[in-house]
Amino acid sequence: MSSPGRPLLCVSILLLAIPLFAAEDVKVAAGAVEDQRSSDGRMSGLSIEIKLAGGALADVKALRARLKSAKDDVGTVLYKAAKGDKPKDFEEFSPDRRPGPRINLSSPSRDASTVEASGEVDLFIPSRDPNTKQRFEKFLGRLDKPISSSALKSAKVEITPLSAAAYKARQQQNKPTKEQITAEAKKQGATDAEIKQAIALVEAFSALGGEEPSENSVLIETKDLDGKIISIDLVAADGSELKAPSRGTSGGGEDKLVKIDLSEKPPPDAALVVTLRTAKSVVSVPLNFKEVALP
Amino acid sequence: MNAGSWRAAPVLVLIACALGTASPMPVAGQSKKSAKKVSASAPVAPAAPPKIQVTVDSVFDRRTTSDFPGPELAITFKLEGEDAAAVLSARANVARAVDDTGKDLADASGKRTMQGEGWQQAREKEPPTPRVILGSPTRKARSLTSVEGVLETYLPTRDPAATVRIDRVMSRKDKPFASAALASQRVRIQVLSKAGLEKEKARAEAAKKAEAAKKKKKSPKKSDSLGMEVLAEGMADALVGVFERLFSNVGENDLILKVDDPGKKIFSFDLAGPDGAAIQSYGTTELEGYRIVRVFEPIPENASLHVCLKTARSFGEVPFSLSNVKLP
Repeated sequence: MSSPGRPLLCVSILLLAIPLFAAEDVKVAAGAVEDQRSSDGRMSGLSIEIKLAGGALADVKALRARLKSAKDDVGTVLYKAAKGDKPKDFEEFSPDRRPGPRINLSSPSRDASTVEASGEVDLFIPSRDPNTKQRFEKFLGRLDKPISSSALKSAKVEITPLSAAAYKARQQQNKPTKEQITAEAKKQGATDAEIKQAIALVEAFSALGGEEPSENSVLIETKDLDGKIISIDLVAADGSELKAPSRGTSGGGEDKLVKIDLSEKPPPDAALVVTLRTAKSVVSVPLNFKEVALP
Repeated sequence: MNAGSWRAAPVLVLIACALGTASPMPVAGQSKKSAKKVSASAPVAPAAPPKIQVTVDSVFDRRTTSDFPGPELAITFKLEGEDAAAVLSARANVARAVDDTGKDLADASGKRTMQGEGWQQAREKEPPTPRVILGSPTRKARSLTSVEGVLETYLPTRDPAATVRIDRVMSRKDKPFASAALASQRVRIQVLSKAGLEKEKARAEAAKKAEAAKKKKKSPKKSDSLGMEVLAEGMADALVGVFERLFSNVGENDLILKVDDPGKKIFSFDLAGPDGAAIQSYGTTELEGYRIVRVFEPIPENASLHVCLKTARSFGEVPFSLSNVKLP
């Protein structure tokens, strides 16, 4: 016979367990499949959309897929991790995002009918950890100096709000030279015409991104060794969001320059809200695609 | 014609004039008589087919389970041979394309996704590389056993009359060009300044207002005149809409042309600097009787406009038949 207190205990345990179950309730399935095949090898590859379902999906704000293996049904290996490969950065996610996130693989054989892939999907669920959001008050009063924060330090993240002059200097400094582009392109076997095109393209992109910062721009440099930054937002002193109709990021890998153009001049007491990935905020769910039919 | 439609007629004429369809733009320095003379162009025998070989440059097979963009096979052709370098523009039409399982892919080839109805321009002294979009082959197919079609080529160097050069084009704003060569093809062109475009817009708006005022005065309407009035009002609205789109479309450096080309003889517009070097354009937008030639930088005052015309001698067709085209 059960004691009178037992049902209450059960309910309490159940309530405690709900957030955990809900987070792991996310199911991963294969969505749209695209096999691009080119006679010159350009733009070739297979991509499979990751379709997520489950009650906790609304809480997922970003994700990344980590593949272990993939092959087609005639044995062609479609994914091989290279030594020293870093996991991909997280990409923003919302349940109504179209097209959905994808995994990218090598081209399967024309003779193949199906493919299989396995790995994990890391889901960033900020509601699981209040420490994911770090707020830095009145940051505009401390330009060109890295923000001092133990949370950033332990995440190996450095964030520096920049003045317009420092931003422009960094832009110039980061712009690849013609020699660097040529060397990189040659490494990849590009022809002289392709190298010329690449240089022109870089010039064009530089011109696009080179729009002068205005008084509405907030300029930031980030150094993020492990890809911990999920997003950077701006809020007024009262916590209300400062709308940013456009934002641009230049640079790649660990160092980036971010230009956030607000709809109006930021108030001097504006705060920077940095969303960071923490161990507690990430849940991994298995990705197991079997017999995915090739188009 | 009944009384009601007579009342509507002046408005229609006004709109038609503004559209540039009913009233010819006078060509400066050219009398009506001489214009009549040159407009009767004598039939010209087409030139011999150009010496061009068509081969496959690349094949791109997009296989997808999505509907948009859907699956398709794109073939890019390479032009070789004696006349290849002279081809300014080309497009390929595939009539038959069969994979080695027997599936015909040419059914979908009527759709052209490229701008300018599939015409591909020559770039950096290289012949154009026209592209066709076909249906998707079977996954198990290894090759296309047959690809047959016709390559259309535009070779303006084969006919001096195919290119009309207008020097110092920027100093000729808001005045029609006097050109016998253009007149002979019944083509009229005028460069519009922003102010000129404003004037044209104001004229269209005035026509719209006049039509609205007229409509207000008349009541009750007779049912037989109602259709014409609705049509006239619709045309006035459409014209004002064209100008609104023109204004929202025109970039700071773009060249705006008012064009009357009833025979659709204009092939393209090119701009060149005083040294003859091409001024880079990123396309021409066609909007009713107007063209916007898109350029990155301000056009120099001494630039010239090259109007490329479709003439019998400047066009050539090359039939092609390819076999065993490997699928990637």
